[in-house]
Amino acid sequence: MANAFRSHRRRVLGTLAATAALSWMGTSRVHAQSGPTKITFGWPFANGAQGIEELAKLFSEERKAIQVEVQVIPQAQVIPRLTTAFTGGQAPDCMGMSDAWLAQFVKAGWLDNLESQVRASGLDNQIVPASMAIARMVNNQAHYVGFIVEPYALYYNKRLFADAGVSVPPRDVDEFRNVALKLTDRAKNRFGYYVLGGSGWQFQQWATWMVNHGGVGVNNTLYDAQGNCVLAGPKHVEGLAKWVALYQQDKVSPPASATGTFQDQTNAFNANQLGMVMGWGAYLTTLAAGIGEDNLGTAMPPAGPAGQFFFYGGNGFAINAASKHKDACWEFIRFMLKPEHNARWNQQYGAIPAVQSAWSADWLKAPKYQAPLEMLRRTPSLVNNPRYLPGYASFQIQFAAEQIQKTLLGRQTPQEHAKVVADALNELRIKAG
Amino acid sequence: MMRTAAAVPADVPALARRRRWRSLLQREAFPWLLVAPVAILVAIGVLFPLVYVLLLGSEDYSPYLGKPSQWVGLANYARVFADPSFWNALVASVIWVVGSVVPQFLLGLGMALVLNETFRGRGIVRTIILAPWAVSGVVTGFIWLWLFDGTIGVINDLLMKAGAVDAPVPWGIFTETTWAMVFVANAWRGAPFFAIVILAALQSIDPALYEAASIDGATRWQKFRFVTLPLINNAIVISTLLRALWTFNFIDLLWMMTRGGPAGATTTLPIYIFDVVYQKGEFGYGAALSVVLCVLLITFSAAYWQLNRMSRLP
Repeated sequence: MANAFRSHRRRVLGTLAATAALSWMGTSRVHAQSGPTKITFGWPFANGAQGIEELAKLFSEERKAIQVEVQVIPQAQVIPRLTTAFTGGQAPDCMGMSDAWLAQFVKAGWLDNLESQVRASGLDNQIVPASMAIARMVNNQAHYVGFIVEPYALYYNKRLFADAGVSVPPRDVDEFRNVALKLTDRAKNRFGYYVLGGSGWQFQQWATWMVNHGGVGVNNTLYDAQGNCVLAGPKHVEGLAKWVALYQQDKVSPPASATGTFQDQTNAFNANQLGMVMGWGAYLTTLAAGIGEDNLGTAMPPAGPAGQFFFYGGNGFAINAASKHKDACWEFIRFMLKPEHNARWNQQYGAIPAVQSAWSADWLKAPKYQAPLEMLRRTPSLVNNPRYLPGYASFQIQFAAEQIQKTLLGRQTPQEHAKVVADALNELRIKAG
Repeated sequence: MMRTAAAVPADVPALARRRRWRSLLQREAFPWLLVAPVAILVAIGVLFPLVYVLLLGSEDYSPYLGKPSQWVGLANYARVFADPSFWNALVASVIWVVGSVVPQFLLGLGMALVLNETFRGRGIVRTIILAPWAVSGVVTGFIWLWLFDGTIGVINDLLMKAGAVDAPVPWGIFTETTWAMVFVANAWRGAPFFAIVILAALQSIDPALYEAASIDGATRWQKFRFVTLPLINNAIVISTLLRALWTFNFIDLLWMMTRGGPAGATTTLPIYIFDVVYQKGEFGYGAALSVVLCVLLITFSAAYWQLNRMSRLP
């Protein structure tokens, strides 16, 4: 019995030892192999993965010494996924990066400082200044290189405009209100505009009315010289009240829009139920597919008494500070930012390339691109919104949405809203140091 | 020689002791050796995160601000109880759990009772009724969000065609209708779970008990009350407890449909924790919130279990 037990034990231990030895030998062989440098590229956006994969394939074929593996990260889970990956040392070598998360990832020390490479390669002169301003939002050092730049523009349905007898898009907030009223026909479930209150970039809409009435702060930020948020000023409150009135008094927006998301706005616009919506540049493709290329018009957001200011954003490429293949990553990024490659990807996606020489491409001469391009050329009108503050993502997604919903649903006044928002932005700035 | 002669009798028991030890080790340690990999995996997978969250809950750790972690003791826990958002989220969580589990249970019980009957096509009906359980929370959220859409939704369209309403109902802007919307969606998805568990319990009841009850002149309701219900009680307790815990921690369906709105009314504790950790980057405070959530759930489970035991005592 004891002998049988011993013999059984020897067999089990022997098998375990053999398995361990074989695994070790297998690992050794892998380490001993020499071949191309392999880098991983994380793509954290809902759209555009196909274009990136095509560029990665092209690059890997051209540069045999570097092979790129594209890892698509679901956008809805991107912050938790990337945060976990960075803290666990498993993040991709390089990745696409949104301006909304850039500051917090830089402050955490996870992204490489690309300033010297950007300067040495001359990319800082090739990329549109608006995009470079985003890249250098933390400590004036480039931590990403832009590949897309998007103004927050106005989109309209030309057929609905014609039906309502409107020939040109509104130029100022008063015209905007009148046009929205003309376009609205509640009996037909048709509305002039979508007063976006739900999650997904609603801040840019109501804040446009605020800054166009009360102006911006120092360096086009939302802060004055003393570091106080300007949005609580009386003119800003007036602008916000006008925007809220579009929903509450004028009723030019679907009642559900108070909590509706960006996706709900898109669905309603594409169902020909909305005359005007506001959104990012990459929205062009989605909306053109929805209501027809010829039917889609683009314009700059309306001006107010204090002028015409635009929100804008953009995504870029960044390198993991802990990557062992930073040179290979930079080479891949340079490849993707060649004007022809940058134009090719943006054409598929319908957005504006960050590389200015790509702007001469024929497809960008289409009328629908002219308003967004003009907005980007007007650098003094571009708002430097506080995405450079860590915690801004939470402010925009959660806090701002909750506050504007309260205001639209009549649970607080525009004045209270402006104060609570300004206080929150002041707190963010103080926390950031 | 003297030493050797004296050592021999002394070494014999020592040798025997060593042999006994070796034998004991072989018999006792070997099974432990085999169990060790799993035990290590459990320790890594379960205990380590638990201990880590407990430790993190006592630190001010905000990596997004680029600040080093600082030990703050119980300060994060004190902050939790003074945080009005925590209490609002706790109330929202209780509404979410009660409003979800009660209709799911009643629907599931009804479904199980119907499926327990013999009729033609029972297999197909079972498959169809149980299908929603296989759909993910995110997909369920999308389906019902579009059905309830306040501008282009199918439900509004049907209501308008039926003449029940003049204009589309903006379901998502009122607190009450938003809750109703998510309860319906969650009931659609969760009721099959109760149906599966209760159906299994129903099928284990001996038919002779019903025959005996019939002979005693019991009505259908009396059979259900005094035969069926006591015999499926354990299944009901376990399934409601499990579903309540899952629902409490559940984020995807609610997040998809409301994003915590309108005006934060449906921001439950898990949604709040997600915002604190991943959007605000306050990992220490988020960990403290998670520990409090865990303690609350353990307390609830223990109380529920105890209440059920007490209710069954003669």
